[in-house]
Amino acid sequence: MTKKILFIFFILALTLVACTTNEPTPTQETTVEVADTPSPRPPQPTATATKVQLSGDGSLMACNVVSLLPPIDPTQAAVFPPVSEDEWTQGAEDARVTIVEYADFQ
Amino acid sequence: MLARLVEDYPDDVRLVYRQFPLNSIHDKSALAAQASEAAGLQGSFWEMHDLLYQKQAEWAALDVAAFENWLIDQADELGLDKKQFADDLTSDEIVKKVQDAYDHASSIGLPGTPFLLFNGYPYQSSMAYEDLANVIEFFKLEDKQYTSCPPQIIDADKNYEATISTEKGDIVVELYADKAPLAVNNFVFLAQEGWFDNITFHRVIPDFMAQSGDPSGTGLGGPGYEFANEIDPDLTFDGAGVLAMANHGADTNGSQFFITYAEAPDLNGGYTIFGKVISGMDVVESLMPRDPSQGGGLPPGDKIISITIEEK
Repeated sequence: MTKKILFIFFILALTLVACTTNEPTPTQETTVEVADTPSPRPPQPTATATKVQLSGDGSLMACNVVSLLPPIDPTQAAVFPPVSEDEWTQGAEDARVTIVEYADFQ
Repeated sequence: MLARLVEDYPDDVRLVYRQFPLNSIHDKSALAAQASEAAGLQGSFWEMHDLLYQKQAEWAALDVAAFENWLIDQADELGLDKKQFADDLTSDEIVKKVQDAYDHASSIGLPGTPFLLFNGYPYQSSMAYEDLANVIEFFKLEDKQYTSCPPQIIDADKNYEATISTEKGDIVVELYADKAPLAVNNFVFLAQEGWFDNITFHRVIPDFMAQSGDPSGTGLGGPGYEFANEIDPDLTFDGAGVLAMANHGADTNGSQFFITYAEAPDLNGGYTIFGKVISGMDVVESLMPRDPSQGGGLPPGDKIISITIEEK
C-alpha cells in the first residue's frame, strides 16, 4: 500500500528567497511550504477576523488579525501519532515547542 | 544539535525521539536502535543515544558482529548490567519494537532522516543550530501575538519623535503622524508595549537598509495583525535615513520596519514611509551587517534596547 502524503515542509523562507530574488527588498519573510508532490497553493497566514475601525479623523482604518502559523492540514496531522507516555522524551513536559524527531543512528 | 536546543531552552523545548532505522541502506541501523532501546530498559536510553552519535566514526566501519560486541562493551562502560544488555539487545521484544517503529515510519512515507515535527509542523530544512533555534524563537512568538488591532493612541495633529536606543547608541526619528497615521500609531503602540525591547536588527544590508521589528529575529514574525499601506506621493525613498514599514505584499504591515542607507527608488509606492532619522545616522551606519538569506553562520545582530516615544 502506498500512502500518498503531501509533505509540507515548514522551512524558513530564507533559502528560497536566496534563489528567487536578486533585488533585495525589505520584505518580511513569509513561511514557505514546499511539497514534493503536487499540492494546492500553500496556505498563507490566514485572516481570522477583520476589523475596520474609525480613526480619529474619521477615515477607515484597515487592519486584519492574522495567525502566525498556517493551520495544520488535518489529514496530515492524523498521520503522526500524538506523543505518548512511553516514548523517549527530554525536556519539560509542558514545553512551548515539542520537537518529534524521526531519526536513524547510522 | 537537538540536545543543545533542549539544554538552551529548558522550559520551551521538549524532544521526542522516534526510531526510523533505514535498514535498507544502513546495515547497523536496526542494531543501533535496538541498543538504545536495550539501554532504555535500564533507564539509560539518552546516554546510549548520545554515545551512538558521538562515537559514530568509531563504529561506522565495523561489521554487524563486531558492532554488537562494541555495543556490549559500551553498555558496560556506561555502567549498565552487561549481561542483561546483551540479552535485551537482540531479544524478540526489542527487535519487534524497533521493527514496529520502522514499519510505522515507512508507512507514513517519510522522505528520509532526520525528519522533524515542530508542534506538528513537518520540518525538513537546515539542521544548523542557529536555524533550529530560530524556529523555536518563531514558535515562542506565538505567545506574544495580539488578538486585535492596536487601539488608536496617537493624535494626528501632534508631533512624535522616537528614540531607538541600541547597544551602539541612540537613533532619533521623527514620525509622520499626519501622513502615515496607521503606521505611526502602530509604532508608538508597539514601542510603549515594549515589543521592540531587546530585539535585533536581523537584516542589515550595507548601501541598502537596516531592518528590525521581529522579536523572533527570523524575519518571519509579526504582531498578529496586518494593516494597510499608506502611500503619500510626496514621500519617497530619496536618500539615507528614511524610516518605513517592511511588508510581504501590499497592506501586510505588522511590526517590522527599516531605515534606508541610500536612496532606493525601487521601493517608492510599495512601502509605507512613516518617518525619518533626525540624529544618530552614524549609529544606523554602524549596525552589524547580516543577511539571513545567506544562510547560517551569521554574526549576532545589534540589539534595540528599547524605543521611547516623545509627544510634542
